Amino acid sequence: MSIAYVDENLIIRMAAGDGAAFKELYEQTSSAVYGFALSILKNKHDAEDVMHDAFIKAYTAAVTYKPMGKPLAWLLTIVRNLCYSRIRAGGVCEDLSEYQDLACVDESGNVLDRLILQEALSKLDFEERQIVILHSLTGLKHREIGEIMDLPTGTVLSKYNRSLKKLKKELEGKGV
Amino acid sequence: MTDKRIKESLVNAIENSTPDILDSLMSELNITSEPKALVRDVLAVESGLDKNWTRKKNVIGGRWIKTAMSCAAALVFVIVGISLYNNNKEVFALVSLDVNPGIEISIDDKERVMSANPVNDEAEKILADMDLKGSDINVACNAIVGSMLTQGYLTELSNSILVSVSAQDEAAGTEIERKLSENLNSYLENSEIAAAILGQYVNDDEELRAFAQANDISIGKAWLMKSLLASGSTKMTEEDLLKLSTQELILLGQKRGVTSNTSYGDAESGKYIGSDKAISIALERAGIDISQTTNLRYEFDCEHGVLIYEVTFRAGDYEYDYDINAIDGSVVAHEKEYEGPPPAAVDNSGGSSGNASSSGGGTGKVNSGGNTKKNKKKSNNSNNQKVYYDDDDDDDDDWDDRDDDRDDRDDGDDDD
Repeated sequence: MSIAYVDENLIIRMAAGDGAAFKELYEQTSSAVYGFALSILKNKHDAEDVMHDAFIKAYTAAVTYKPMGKPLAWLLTIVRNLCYSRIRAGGVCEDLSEYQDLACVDESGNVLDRLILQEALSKLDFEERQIVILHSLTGLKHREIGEIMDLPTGTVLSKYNRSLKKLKKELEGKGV
Repeated sequence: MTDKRIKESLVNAIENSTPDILDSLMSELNITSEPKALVRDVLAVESGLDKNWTRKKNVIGGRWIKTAMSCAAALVFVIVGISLYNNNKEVFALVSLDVNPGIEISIDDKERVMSANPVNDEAEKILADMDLKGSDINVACNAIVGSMLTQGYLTELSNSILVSVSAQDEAAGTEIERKLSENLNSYLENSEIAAAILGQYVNDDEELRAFAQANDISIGKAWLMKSLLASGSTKMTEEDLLKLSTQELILLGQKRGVTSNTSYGDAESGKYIGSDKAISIALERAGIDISQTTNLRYEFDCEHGVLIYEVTFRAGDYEYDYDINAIDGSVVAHEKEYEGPPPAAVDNSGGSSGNASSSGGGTGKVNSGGNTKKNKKKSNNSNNQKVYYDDDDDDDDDWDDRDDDRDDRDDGDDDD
């Protein structure tokens, strides 16, 4: 799945009050927005709140968007800033135990898929989670992920590779 | 388990757990997925179709659409002043509100609205259904700002309000501006956004008015541009500043310490990379560690209509100057100048230092003969390591410490 190339005109149309453009943006990016927030906050309720706030902000701030060919990065930067504000405000349980992490994932969906998401959220570190989830959900390049996360491309690449190895090892340990 | 399978599982698990909040969002934003007339306008303009829908042309005109498409920032300006170009002698003051939309309001000596006029097409949309005549100016400003909030011109990312005053009696005008700013600040404290309000007194004159009218901007915005041009930058031009949104102008005004009467809050700068990042980009590009630098400093500036951080530092015998795009972090221009001992003093190594400079990125330059003056002027600072990059770049004191010998700099030929 790749949504790396969201049409920039959606943001421009949103700035002019186009609800259809908002809907289209939401449909293309809601999972990436939610997943990215989840990867930072490790809590599905907080992630849902941020998802809500991010789309409201994207709509109301669309007039300030400057076309630079990076609408998804713009949206994900809003998500990241909202997550960080929430963490700074102290309203997020940052250090969830493994059991609490189980609450991060809905009961719907494939059991193995959910297990892998749980492992990713609980075994990877703060940046690793974001990198693996952004890469999986958006198809953004390592360089683009680095720009969103303020990390050098090399760091993103090495953390990405390390994360997948770590995940595989954890899953093998569980007999998957 | 392959990498691909892991990623697929992550995508599936997240897609399955993503809540569906589209309806509630659209309801909250009061929008539907039906395209609005305005959107049809935009699409028609984009595709070159004829416009044949029913709406008031003077409310939403082509120029407004172009402005909307350029994603102009939301901003509020309040200008109070004696209306010198209105021959009505009963007009006591002129209040202008701009949120990129720009609105000028004449008030009488009881501070009641006599007339409200848009200075650009965006403002016509704001004023469309408002009858402000006879209202108290504070009530009128609250109504206008409220409309700007609901119409998305004033947002968390574009939060700045400028209150400008022009009057024959400067003290009276300043007092009106102060009260209006205070009132707007109280009003906005109840909103969800953290607004910034900047107040200024405007010395209105024919030239300023002509400039404002020629460019469809308020006198307050024109005055802010004039103040910015007088703020010591060697880069800014009138043409550049006209390309900026009002939010960007106010941010630039705050960062450069342009004088104001009133100030509440900070203009939002979250969309910019920040001075820390700009400095690290410059150092990385120069291949120099921060510990090797002296006199490291930065300035928020505007060049060719783009906001930049100008990062300057000295390392070894060279002074480096990088212009970093404040939004995307790209290097817009850079310069490297020899600042070491005069050529006579480094006679043995003069040739090699020139070569070293040339190889340092291709555009570096050594003015070995012509640097004597600059070298001398800057020698006072050469032992001071001033690093101005604490939390953010919003410390106005930073600007006071800049040395002012920028006239010596070459420009234009070092574009990256």
